[in-house]
Amino acid sequence: MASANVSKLELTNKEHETSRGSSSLWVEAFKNLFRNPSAIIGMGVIGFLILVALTAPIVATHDPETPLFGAPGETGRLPGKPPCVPALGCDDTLHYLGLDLNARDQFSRILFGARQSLFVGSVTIAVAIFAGTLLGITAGYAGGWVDNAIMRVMDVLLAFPSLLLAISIVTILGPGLMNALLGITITFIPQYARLSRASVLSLKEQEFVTAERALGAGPLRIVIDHILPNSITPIIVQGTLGIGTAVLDAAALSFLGLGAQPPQAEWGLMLSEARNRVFTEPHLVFFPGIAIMITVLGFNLLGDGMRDALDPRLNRN
Amino acid sequence: MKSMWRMLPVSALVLIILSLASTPAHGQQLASVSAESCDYGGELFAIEALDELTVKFTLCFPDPAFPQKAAFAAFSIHPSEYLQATGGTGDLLTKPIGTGPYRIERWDFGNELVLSRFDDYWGEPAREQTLIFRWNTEATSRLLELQAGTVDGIDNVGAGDFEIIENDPNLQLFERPGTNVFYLGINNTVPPFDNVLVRQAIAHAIDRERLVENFYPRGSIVARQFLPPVIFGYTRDVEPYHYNLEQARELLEQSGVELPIRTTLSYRDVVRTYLPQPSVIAQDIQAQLAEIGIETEIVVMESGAFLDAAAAGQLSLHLLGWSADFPDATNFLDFHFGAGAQPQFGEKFDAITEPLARAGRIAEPQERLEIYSEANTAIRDLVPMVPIAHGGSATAFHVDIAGGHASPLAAEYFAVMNDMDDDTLVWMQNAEPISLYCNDESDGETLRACEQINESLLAYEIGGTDVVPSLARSFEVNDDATEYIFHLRDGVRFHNGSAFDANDVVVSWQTLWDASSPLHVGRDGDFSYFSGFFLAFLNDDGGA
Repeated sequence: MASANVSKLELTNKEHETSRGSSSLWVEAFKNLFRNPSAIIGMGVIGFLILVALTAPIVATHDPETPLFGAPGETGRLPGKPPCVPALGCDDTLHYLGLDLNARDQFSRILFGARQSLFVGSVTIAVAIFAGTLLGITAGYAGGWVDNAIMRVMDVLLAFPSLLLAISIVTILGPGLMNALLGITITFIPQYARLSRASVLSLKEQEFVTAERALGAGPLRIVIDHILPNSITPIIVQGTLGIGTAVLDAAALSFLGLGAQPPQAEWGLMLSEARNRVFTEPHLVFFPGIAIMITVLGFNLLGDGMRDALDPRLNRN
Repeated sequence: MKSMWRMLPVSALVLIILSLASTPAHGQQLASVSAESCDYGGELFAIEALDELTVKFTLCFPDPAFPQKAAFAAFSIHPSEYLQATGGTGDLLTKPIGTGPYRIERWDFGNELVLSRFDDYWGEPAREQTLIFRWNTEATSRLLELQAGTVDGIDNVGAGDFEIIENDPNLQLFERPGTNVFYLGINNTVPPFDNVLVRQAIAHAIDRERLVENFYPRGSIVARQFLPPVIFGYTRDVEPYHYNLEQARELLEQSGVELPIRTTLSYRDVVRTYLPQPSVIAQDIQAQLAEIGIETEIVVMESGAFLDAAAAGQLSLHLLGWSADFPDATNFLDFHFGAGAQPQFGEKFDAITEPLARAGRIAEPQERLEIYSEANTAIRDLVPMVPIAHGGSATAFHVDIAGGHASPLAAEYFAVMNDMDDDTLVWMQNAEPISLYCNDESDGETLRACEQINESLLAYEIGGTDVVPSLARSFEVNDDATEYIFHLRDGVRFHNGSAFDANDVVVSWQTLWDASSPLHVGRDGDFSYFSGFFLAFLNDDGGA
């Protein structure tokens, strides 16, 4: 009896050490992250976008969904009016990025569009990580037919080109931003299920897990306390990279008329509405395109930086 | 396609009387065709050659618009011998023989259609020896070719190119007035649009000037009523609703309807002369409706599905338009609001259907106009739809082309055009003709090519919509507009040298009308304009 108590005590101490060790690993990782130039640029871009999204109602010069026909100070032909900044010598009403074909202020629309893109990107990935990890860990830890059943469904989902799968889902549910969000989420789930299952499979045979089990810990406790913290790194990296892809997919769905609906300010929708005007009103295509590019670039840079910082095999020290 | 043999028993219904009694000049019998009764549901009862140069049409019910219909290119006259020799298809589709100012020289499929002057033409001969049709779907490409001088004239100038052409001293622009209408359809079976006050509020809330000014090409006009001003039946005295948000809000308040009203606004993403920028115009209308508390969700539908759903009355608010087939009120009003119209706008109103039925059966123009004024007033008051615009378009020609014009019916007539530089006129339109047997075609690009080669009994004036004599030099009509007697022009020759006579008229029409005729074949056998204008085919057992 006494000896058992001693060994448990030792184990507890050991556990403390591990957790102390892991927290210092996190600190190390953050240090690495802040030494990584691409991660810093990525964080800067994303931070700026978040700021834009939060302050859009204050910074925007006009309502993003109201045509400006007959508004005070507006002169000349409004649809597709080119950018005009009085400070730069244009002596007309202020429109930093011009007006769109419905005479709505494009600068304001781009700002509000950041809200849609960031919202779609982060929510889809968050939900996909949650659902995917849950499925992957269940499959990996339970094994047997549960594993087979879950992973074969994931294989089927992975067999479809992701955008095509999203299009099919949205076509069934009907167009709209929320349905697009759901469609994209479903296409992302298998990635995280696979990643987390792979981690679980390698971790669950590790000695510290066996020891925990020998001490009588239930599966839930083992998963939450030991397996999840040790397998979360690749998922975070994959998730950051995934936000960029999700933003792109959402824009693609909106471009196809399946995502955001008019008159919503959404970058993909803005591109789609002006797609025939590339040569006559280039500003209508240029600015939403640049906005999408910068957002995706930001998440990709951060994701790459995170992978460098969090992957121990790439550790420069 | 039905086989001839299966149709034989049905064709017993037709009485094709090849009368021997008259005195045929060419030793020919006079043809006639008649239905047994009017029970088959169509407009025509009989077509008879009274003598070599006289044809009589007997109708089942009065139709004052019959001459307008008979002038249409889908009822052109072909040599009866050639129709029989080709069996109503085959060479007829690509090498038609007509009486027009141009005859077909060669059709290089996918590339160009070459026509040459017909020297024995009965009227003013064509000014140019050669007329070439070319095509390109892109407005900018057409303009580039015109600027480069490789073509002499183009159709459908791009919305942004009007000023470019006007400012170019080498080019001339001809605006085509809109013989079409774009409207916001309101289905009165969808609450709260069953309340006339709500529909009137919508009519007051739409700023049509803003739509036309900002989104339509030059030459487009704000619609005061469903009919465009150039179409017979337009009555200027009917005042339209004016844009007035105050009044719209007041009407909504009177209606007692709870705001906001939430509904759908459907359209198809297809460019038409009446709807040059579908998505932009739909969004502007959405924003305008939002001003008075009608919140709409835009629904973009596939073209065919949209038309079907609209015709079946399944849509709430929807954006659609109509282009003139022939210049008469019946083509616009009866099709949309008549007793036999589709339930596109929901329940029909006696106040509209009754005058339309009356006007359709009166021949005297002034009297008809007075009734149309009544119908137009009822349509305004009951608001089954809000007419928005008549979309304009334009043609452009090189400055050295004399006689250039734009026809409101898109039926430009090239025989009057003269190229001072050389003896060839090159015209570039949107698309290649589908076939040159236009009695079985409905596409405008196709009809225009046919109109240079084949002619109908009557024609539309060049650059206008009035009906003028063509192969018939005159016609008589009885008092109740059920019998038309056409006096044909003497000495008219077909391109193959054969003489034109009354039998050619009867056989050309019979080919269209009689579904059991072995010549009723065409390209796809739809003959959609015939069935659209004259309601039904003879001996049509539904399998054709």
